[in-house]
Amino acid sequence: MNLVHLLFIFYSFINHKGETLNLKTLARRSTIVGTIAGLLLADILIFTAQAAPRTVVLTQPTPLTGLNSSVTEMNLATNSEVMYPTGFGFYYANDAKKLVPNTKFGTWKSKKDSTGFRVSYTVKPNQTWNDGTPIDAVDLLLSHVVSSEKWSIDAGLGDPSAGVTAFDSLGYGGTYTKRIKSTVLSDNNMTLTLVYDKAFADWDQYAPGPFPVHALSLLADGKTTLGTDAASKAAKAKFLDDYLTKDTARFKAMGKIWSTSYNITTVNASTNPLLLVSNGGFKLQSCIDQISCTLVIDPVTNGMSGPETTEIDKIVYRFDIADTSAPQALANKEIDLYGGQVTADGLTQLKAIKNITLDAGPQTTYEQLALRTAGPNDVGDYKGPFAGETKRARELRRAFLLAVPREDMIQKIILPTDVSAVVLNSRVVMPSDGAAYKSYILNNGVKQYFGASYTARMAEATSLMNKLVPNWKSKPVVVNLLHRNNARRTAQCQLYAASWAKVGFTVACGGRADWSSQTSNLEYDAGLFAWGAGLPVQVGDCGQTESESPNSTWGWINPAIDKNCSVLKGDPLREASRNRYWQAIEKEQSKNAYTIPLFQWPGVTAIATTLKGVKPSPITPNLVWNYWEWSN
Amino acid sequence: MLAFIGRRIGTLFVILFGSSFILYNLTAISGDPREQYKFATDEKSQSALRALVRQLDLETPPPLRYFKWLEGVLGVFYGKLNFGVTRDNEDVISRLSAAIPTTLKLVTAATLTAIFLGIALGMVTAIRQYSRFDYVVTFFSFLMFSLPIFWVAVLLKQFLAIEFNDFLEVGYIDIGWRILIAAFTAVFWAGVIGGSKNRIAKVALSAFILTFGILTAIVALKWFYDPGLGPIVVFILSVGIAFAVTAISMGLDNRPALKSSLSIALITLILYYPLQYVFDKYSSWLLILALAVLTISTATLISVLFAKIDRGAVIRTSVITSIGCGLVVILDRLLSTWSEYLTLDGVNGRPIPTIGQMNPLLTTDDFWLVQLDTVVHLILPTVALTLISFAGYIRFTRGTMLEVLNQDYIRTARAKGLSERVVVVRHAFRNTMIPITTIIVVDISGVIGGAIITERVFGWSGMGTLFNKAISGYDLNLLMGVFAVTATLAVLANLVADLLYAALDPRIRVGNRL
Repeated sequence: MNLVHLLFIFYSFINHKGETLNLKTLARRSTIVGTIAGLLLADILIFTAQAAPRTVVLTQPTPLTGLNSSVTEMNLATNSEVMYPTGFGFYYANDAKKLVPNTKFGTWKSKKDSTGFRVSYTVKPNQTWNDGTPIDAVDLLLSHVVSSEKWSIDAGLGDPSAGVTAFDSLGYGGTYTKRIKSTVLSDNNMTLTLVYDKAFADWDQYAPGPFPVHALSLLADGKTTLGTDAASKAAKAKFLDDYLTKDTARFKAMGKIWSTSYNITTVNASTNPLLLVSNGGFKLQSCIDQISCTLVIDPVTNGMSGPETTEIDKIVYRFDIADTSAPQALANKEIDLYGGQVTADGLTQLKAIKNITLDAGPQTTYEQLALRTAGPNDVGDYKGPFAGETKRARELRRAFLLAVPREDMIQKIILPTDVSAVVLNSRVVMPSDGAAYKSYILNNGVKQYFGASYTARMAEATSLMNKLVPNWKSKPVVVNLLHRNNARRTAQCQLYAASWAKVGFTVACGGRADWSSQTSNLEYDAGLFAWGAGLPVQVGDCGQTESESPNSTWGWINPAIDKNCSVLKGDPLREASRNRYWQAIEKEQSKNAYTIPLFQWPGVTAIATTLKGVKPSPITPNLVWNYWEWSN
Repeated sequence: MLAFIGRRIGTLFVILFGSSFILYNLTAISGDPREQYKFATDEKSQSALRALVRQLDLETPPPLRYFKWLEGVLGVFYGKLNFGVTRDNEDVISRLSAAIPTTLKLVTAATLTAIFLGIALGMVTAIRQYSRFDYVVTFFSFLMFSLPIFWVAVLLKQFLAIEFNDFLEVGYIDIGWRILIAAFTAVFWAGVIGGSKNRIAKVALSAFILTFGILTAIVALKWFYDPGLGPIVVFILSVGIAFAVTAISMGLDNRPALKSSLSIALITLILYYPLQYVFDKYSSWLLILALAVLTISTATLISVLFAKIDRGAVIRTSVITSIGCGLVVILDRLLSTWSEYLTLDGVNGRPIPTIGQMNPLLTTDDFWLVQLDTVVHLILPTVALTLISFAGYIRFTRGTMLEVLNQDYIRTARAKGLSERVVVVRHAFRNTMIPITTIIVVDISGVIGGAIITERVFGWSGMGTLFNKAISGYDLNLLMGVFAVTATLAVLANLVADLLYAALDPRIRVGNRL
């Protein structure tokens, strides 16, 4: 349309009612027309430049339920992922499952002495929240308030172990509350020292997160607009005062705000701005209930307390997009980034889309097969084929595990969805961890006990069975296998059952939807299930493998494992010795044929080709952890 | 009559009580909301587990918990309705009140289209039983009926959204595609039109040429980038509507009806530009409502002026015409917003989305842009739902209509020399509508329950999504909330259907039943 208009204007200028044009007039008119055309062209160009997407649209499987994911009921991955770009603290977790110190925000150092174990967290000067209020160590104090049970009781806020507190916090009840003795604030208010009774494993994961306490204080006063600089300063001073005097009434008021006022799913211009005070590269601009949240670059705090974002302006989360809808939404350029589990069909569909790159690879969730040796925690007396710690039971279990066609499984079921899949030989370190995995599996025993070729393993299993159950051909051992009743598990179980049948086990595949509540059901002799790994912790999976642990559902009783676990649960160890203990545990598990790791779950991340810098991480926040490196 | 309604409402409460009690307890037995924490040993999960038990009152046995729930629900009678909280600690009522409008938005257009198309096609296929048209429609409707919606959705997303948007980026339809589309249209019309081979050939050929011509013209004129009907096309369409409505409802030889309908078309033309001004200046739903009232009253006034006898029927005719003309004007206004919508930052030249109920990247709050955004998000789900659901209406209407047409009173009507239009519209159609009405009422009540799969595949979060979420998360309160709404509506709809049946069919008296 524009072009037609333009031609029309041009025509009317040149051919002006039969008037003969002299050169001068023509030149003048051409100039005018040229200018207009130039302006229009510029308009188009500028417009195009504006439309160039510096926006990234990604999906979350569930909608936002609240802005404060430290509140017990609000502890959803979505909530923490959406809010992640709005905050910086002492560290962030990267895609190698390591904590990366964020020195732009602050630093910490630890000291052990006769009075205990002290960790000093120092906030870097000259940082502000996005309302202009300076950030200092007073902003770290709320973390103690919502994690220390003793403080809660002392301040008259209620006993968290009894379930009633002013702050409905997820932080109570853990190691922090058991170990913390006191907090010391430096004179310049820039350093907070946490005093623990002794050093403990993974203490560095307990850094206090900053929280805009002045905003909380103003909210508790019933304010609905941002305070002036002086008012914010006064509010912060008041908070510190309340903290030092343990003012019950004030903290009850603040607790109510902290636990309920942030639980909003709609954010717009009428939202109380005090709820949105933040210090991240982005700030929350708007949220539409059940549909989306939009974050925009925060001109005040971007690059101040953490890495600076330079290439994108906007992050939009869309909620509730089904895995099956995502490929076409990607193809239609409605979303730029999608991560999830994938089926072979889904992967084929994704591969057919032109404008995306695929990062198909394993997730940290891994599959394992576990055998029952006893009834867990006094559930009852288990009398199945694998019961007990005798040599005979161990060898029977071994024959069973030897006959698992681990290679065939990868070949037939996993490779179509993950071209890099390999047989998993550890439950602690994953093949995707690279060199660490290679050195780790040299000593963890899985390869030692189950590393032979399938033919060799079957031969060994057959000879074991000939010895243990001479009449296995006519009277095979019956095993009930528990697994979730989804397509992959069913296919998996059938594949295994065929192999087991060759060495004298008749396996009934017990696929059921409520499998997880059936793991202590003594009817089942074995189980196929998956574990997801988070940020590595020293205690590892002792919670599931120790004899007396409430979560040891398969009933393994093994003093050697318990001994290693008691060390791991004690003082902090260096990585090398941690590895040694973990390897020792895995070795025991393999030697006694309790369990065997099978494979890592296949996952996929689809990224629009224009979007660069995305490095999917196996732990929350999976995709968005390095948003400052993105460009689109 | 009143006694009947009273009795029925009494039964309704008994049914709702019984079914909710059974459902509550069965659901509570079937799964444990605590399941996801079963293996978790970390401190956070333990804390979350404690909170979940506290918040959902899981330590009370389900049968007792049901009565606590019932107490909250019975609060509806004294203004303190309480459906409890979901497992994410959100108020179930707030979730329901957010989901119901979304669902209504999603299914209303589709349901109305399906009913309208289904009844119209059903009538025509019955009147022309065993014709080629009958076979073609039956074939297509059964084909669509048998397709699963998730598959239809994938196809629609591919062709109506992705490929269409790609086409807009290029702005050119391949000549091969144009020929293919034209050929398909030709085959369709050849199937629909009866008559001699010569006539069929002519129809097919003209359909082919016309389609090909229109497609070429659209490509050449870049109509897709700046569509719009303009006053002339709006007028032509209005005249068309006036003739069609009059022809069906009164017959073209009824001069007053034709005159008043045509006047409405004329008024539409005269008011075209003033309306554009009003639309630009003061757009809101209130304005649309006011205009609708104004339109209908004008239509009534005009008919009163033109008609001396049979006023009611003439008024009805012109009101229907005026609504049709109004819709055309609104369509024109929406189409003229298109070019602006296309260039919006969040749309970027790809207007048809595959997911969602609105574009979250949109920053404008211009009335027409927002409405157009809703419309483009409705296109795919509406087409999908209509395609798969109108077959039922076609078949039911056809069957009922055939039965009615074989009745003695139809033969009598024909025998006494009534025109075929009068026989069909006044005698056959009305009697056909009696059973259909009752079906429609029940269907509409079911609509609130949400289209679970449709909502899922198109990324809408209405009642279907809530239901799905409630089941997969063992979220008992949420499930019961959805159930309470749908079950109440279902029972009420059955009551309304019975009453309507009695009202429409004088042979039936409700008081004598039950």
